[in-house]
Amino acid sequence: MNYSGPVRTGRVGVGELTALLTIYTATDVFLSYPSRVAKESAESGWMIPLVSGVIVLAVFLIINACMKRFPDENILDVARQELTVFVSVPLGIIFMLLFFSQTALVMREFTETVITTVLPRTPSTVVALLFMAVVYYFAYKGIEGLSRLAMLLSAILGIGLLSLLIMPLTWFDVHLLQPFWGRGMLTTIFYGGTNTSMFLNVLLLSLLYPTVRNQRQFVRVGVISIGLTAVLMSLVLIVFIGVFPAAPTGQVPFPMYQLARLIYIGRFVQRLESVFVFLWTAAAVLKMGLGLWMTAYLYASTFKMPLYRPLLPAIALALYVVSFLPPDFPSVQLISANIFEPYGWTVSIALPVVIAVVLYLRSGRAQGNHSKRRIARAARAN
Amino acid sequence: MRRSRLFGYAIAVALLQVLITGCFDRSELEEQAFLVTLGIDQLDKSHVAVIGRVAVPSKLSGTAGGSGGSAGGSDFLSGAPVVSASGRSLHEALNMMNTGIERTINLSHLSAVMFSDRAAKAGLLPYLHTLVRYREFRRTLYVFVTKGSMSDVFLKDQPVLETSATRVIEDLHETSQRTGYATSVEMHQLLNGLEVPGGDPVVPILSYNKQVGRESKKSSGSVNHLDPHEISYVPGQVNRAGGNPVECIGTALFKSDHMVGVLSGEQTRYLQLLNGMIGRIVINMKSPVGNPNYVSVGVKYAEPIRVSVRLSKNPQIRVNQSFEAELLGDQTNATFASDKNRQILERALASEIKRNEVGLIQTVFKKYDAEPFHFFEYARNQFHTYNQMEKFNWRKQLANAQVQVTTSVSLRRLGMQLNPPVAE
Amino acid sequence: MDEQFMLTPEESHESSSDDKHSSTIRRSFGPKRLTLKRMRVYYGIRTTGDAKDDASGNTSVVLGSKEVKPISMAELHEREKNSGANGELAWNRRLPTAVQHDLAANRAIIDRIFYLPTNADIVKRDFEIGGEQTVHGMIVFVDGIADKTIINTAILEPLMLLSNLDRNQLQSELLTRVKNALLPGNQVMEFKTWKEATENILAGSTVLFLEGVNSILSVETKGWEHRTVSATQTESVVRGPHDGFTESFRANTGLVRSKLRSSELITEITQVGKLASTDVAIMYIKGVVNPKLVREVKKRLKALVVDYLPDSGLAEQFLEDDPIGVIPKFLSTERPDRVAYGLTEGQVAIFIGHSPFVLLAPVMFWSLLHTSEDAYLRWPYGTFIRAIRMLSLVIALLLPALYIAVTNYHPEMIPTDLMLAVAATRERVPFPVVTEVLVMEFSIELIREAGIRIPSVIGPTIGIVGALILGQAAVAAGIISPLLIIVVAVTALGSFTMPNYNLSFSVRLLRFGFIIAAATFGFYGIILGLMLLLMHMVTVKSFGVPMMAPIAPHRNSSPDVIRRGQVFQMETRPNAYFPLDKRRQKDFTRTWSPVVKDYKKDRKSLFKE
Repeated sequence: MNYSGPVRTGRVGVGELTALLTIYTATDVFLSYPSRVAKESAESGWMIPLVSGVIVLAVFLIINACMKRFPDENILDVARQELTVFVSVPLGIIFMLLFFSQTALVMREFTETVITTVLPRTPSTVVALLFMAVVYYFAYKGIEGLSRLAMLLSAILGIGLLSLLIMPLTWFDVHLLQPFWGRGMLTTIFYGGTNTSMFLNVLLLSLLYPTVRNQRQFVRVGVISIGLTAVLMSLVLIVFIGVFPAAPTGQVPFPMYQLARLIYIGRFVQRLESVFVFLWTAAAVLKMGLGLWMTAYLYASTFKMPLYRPLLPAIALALYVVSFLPPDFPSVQLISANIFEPYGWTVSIALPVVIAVVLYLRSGRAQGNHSKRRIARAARAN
Repeated sequence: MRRSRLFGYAIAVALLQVLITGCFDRSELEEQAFLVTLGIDQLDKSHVAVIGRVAVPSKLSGTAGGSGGSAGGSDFLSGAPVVSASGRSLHEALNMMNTGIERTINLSHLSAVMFSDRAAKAGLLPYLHTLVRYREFRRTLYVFVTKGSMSDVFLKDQPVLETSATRVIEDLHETSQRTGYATSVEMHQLLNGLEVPGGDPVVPILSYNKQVGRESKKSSGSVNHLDPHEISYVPGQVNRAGGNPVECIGTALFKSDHMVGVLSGEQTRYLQLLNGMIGRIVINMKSPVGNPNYVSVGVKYAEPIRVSVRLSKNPQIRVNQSFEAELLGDQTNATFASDKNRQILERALASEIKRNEVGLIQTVFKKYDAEPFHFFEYARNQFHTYNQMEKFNWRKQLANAQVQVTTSVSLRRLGMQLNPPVAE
Repeated sequence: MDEQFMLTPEESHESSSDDKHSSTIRRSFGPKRLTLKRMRVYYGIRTTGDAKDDASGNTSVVLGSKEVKPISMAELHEREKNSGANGELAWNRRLPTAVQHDLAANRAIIDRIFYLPTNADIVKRDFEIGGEQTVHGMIVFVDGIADKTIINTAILEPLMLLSNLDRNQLQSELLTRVKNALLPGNQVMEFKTWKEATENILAGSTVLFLEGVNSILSVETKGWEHRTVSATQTESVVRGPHDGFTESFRANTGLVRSKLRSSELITEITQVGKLASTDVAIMYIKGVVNPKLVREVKKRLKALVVDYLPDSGLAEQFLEDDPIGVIPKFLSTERPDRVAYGLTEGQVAIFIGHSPFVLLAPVMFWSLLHTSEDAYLRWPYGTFIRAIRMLSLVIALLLPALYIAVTNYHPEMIPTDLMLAVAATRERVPFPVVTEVLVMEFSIELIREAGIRIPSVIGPTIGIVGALILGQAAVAAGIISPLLIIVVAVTALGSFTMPNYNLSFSVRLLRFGFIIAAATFGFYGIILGLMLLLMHMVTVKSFGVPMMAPIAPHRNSSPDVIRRGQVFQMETRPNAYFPLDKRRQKDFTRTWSPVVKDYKKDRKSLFKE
């Protein structure tokens, strides 16, 4: 038998995966995402995540409809079988690079955030090293651990985020959300489209398809995680724009941190930003853990390796090095804003849907072939 | 097995390294000097003076030898000594200041920043830029403008009750919200006032009252020190005796980041009523019925203020307010239990409020060309996009603005007694 | 050894080893059916041994090829001496596994097994079973663990004084008669192997040998001194039963059985230990527990080959899934009611010897934070004390670390006045906060350890000494700031609230980790540490069940995890244990309640539409 089977991952529950994907995507909220979106679209910034969410949801449903024909296999495996390795290997490498570079970027951005906000005199290498150690452990534990932790933390993170959004409401001014259309309806929709780059849910889902324990509820995972992410991002932007008149100018580099600093509810409940460090550290560690794991998993999956764990040290080291390539924090943000956001969607959204549609059409033509394959798979399972 | 042990050693060594070289940001509490209030003054064009009040832990918290109730201000000053220094920038001045304080200065427990009127008139932006960037400053600091000598405000501050310098500031914020004689503005609001298109910030004024300052310790608080004919809402000239010589009344009016004028305590109340900073004020006015004497009425919003703005060459601003009132005290012999008298009083109150508000708006718009009311906020929804809004120059049309104020008051409660007690 | 044929009264041979080494020819003669057996014999000793060395091919072809001739003991002795096995006797080399017919041989083997007469604990008592024609017999027991009164009145007296045996009875009938008519002991069992005989003797039973009978009778005479069932030492409750397990295996299983009177409750007993065997019982409820779980427990117990297993604490370490990590993976409890309830939820209880702590597995982390009292109290109270416990877990784990992080890294977090108060108390203290905290934590641990080890006579002094040293003197000397005393005291209180002894250990250990993390990187360190710990906790398993279930991974469960729900809502057993029978009560257990009646009516009408 040539086919070595998928990388062993363990299986995850529906709730867990939903929590993990939501946290993975919504963590951008703690970084410069709200600031960038507010700058792009001014007062209507809060619509952007919703627009992106709708687009992403549509894409997800399309992919889901196409991939229904291939139960138990992720998009890479199917591509390998239907379109040969000449398609699947480059595809896997592209996906892997996306996750790799995204994780490196987030890592740098996060390291800088920690330094600027809580540990100003600690060298960035030390902060990043500690961070890497935890992320490595997370990736080592794999998606099972990550998703469970996401489930466990989802309540805490949810409550934390909500209180972080509610407590600064003493400063909230509805008028700051007007004019309604911000920089114009078309601008809003345009940026809503490009910001789909932030939603890696679709790609993640099409890759993690076989790990879901209950595949019938797969659609639910996608819809809930995408919807929840969009709503959370939107809420954050509403509060952010309604509290900071300067939001549309993009002057606030760490929006959530600034929001936390604004909390002043009487003499005792104030200066709480250090408490909220918990939120973004926890979320960031989860996000990066999944990023590192995905990179290793994709690498192993692309080249048909049975295990991903031996790859982790090398990838982690590479991640650490690459994350320090940009010289300073503004350039990190520039990379985010000028490369990832405008072009990221081609990989995160467009590529999967194209592949899925191609696979769908091909397998539709060769339906008999497909059913033969299914029998073979059943035989293998036995 | 051997490999994993090797790995373990590697991790242990790495950890050890981190632990040994770690603690980069650690600093013990007793190694820091916490400033609780900071004053910024401009000496000349290129020099900044910084004056700060340091909290001395052992004296402030009253743990060590708190021989309670030892009267007076000298205690307050020794518990929170004042230091100052100058420099070309804020940070330089602060570093200079640190040469005279053994411990590292930490600003994270700052509760208020004060600007001298000199600095405020020259423009706050240079300082604000620094403050916003530095992580130890926060946007929840209270902001004040000091009238007259800044050193007076720092050195002659003698709180009546408080021993903690932070609490003094927080108390000022509480009381000014109750009386309305001063605004209570935090850094965030100040910055918002600057950043919001078509609006200007206001800042409360701290001033040194000479009349109180002159008093000797023995006769402090005596009625004899009061001026028999004067009632003054002007900062630094309030007719009172005893208490803290530093008083918080009045508002500094800004146009952009430049201070352009001072509003009295009375004007401040109507300003706050209009821009929504407070919801309740006490109005004293001659009673329209009964003996020619004064009534005091607590007035608060019955429903939120409604403002409609028509944008044109001569913008029209319609302010619609409806209040409910409670009779607090009256020195007349009139009975307000009757419908007729009540309506008369209501109308009189409405016109009193309206008169003051219109007067205030006219003065501010025409004389100072400032917009502390943020009326433009109510017009934002008339724009479709941000760019349109940015293009619109609200400030230019302020002078031509037509303001129409409609007020209605309904007297809902009369207090503990319906009619005045009858003197036989 | 020789092969020989031997005429024996027919017995039923179930054991497969018998069939392997002996072929049976049946012949009827006389009233009894006698059986001709071919067996390996020395001096009439049959070995049914599973010895591999002589289980080679040549035994199977012997039948009929060799003359069968009984030999005398002396001859055998001679032969054995010459057999080249270093002059050792056969029974010195390897003991037979089966009990012999011959009493003298049995006696010799007993001597050999228990190293008599060197070993003084073992009592051999020869006697004759009464009547004109006496039958020789022997009882063996261990002095000190067997009840002498029972032996005297229920074994020796009836056999010696009150019996009348027909000596010509065949051996199997002899045994049956003794067993059925003469031995009034309440538990009499027949065994055939030495292994069983030895174990029974060592377990406190009295073993009876009879001349000419190759079986033994084990009479239950256990009766050693042990603590009576008394109140629990570590898991006291206010509301609920107070009895705890004691140092008696059977008493412990009995305690559970007395609480859980079900025929489905199964107690399987095996022995672990090569040098000295320890009774191990696994208890479960058939039909509730997942059979895979029982199989797994048995598998792990079977793999547990040690010479001696003194306590459940050791067994726990042998049996746990992942030996690395600080979280206990068993619920070790002293409370029979806890075990009984756990069994009904689908757990398996493991009793190890005379250990007063019984292991329940698998366990979810949350149950380590529960007490049985939570369930006995009404739900608002139960929820309240659980909330207190959750809070105290956080306090015990993190409070000193948070104190360090706040004072050293984030002084802005606390209100200025509080900060100044802390700073004021620290003015005279010569140490950094970390050292201060470590010193205090260390002293608390000292007090704790000393409090356990100190002889109970002088026990009360420890409180005085501790309070004086830690409270008054340290502050007065200016070494410790008074605020820190509060922090440390609250932390200690928090860790004392942990209902599980093992868990409180893990909390104490982890606390030091967090202190170091906080001292080096403030909040950032604490959070990273916390994330590592949580990741560890969500991936750790107890007998295949993820310990953070039913929250992560999410499993359906009754509202009995963090809060204590209303008891009539808890219709299902915890799904994480994969019980066979998922429901434990009816949907409606309060049918008499008007609310429920209305609800049922509404539901009915709803479904009709």
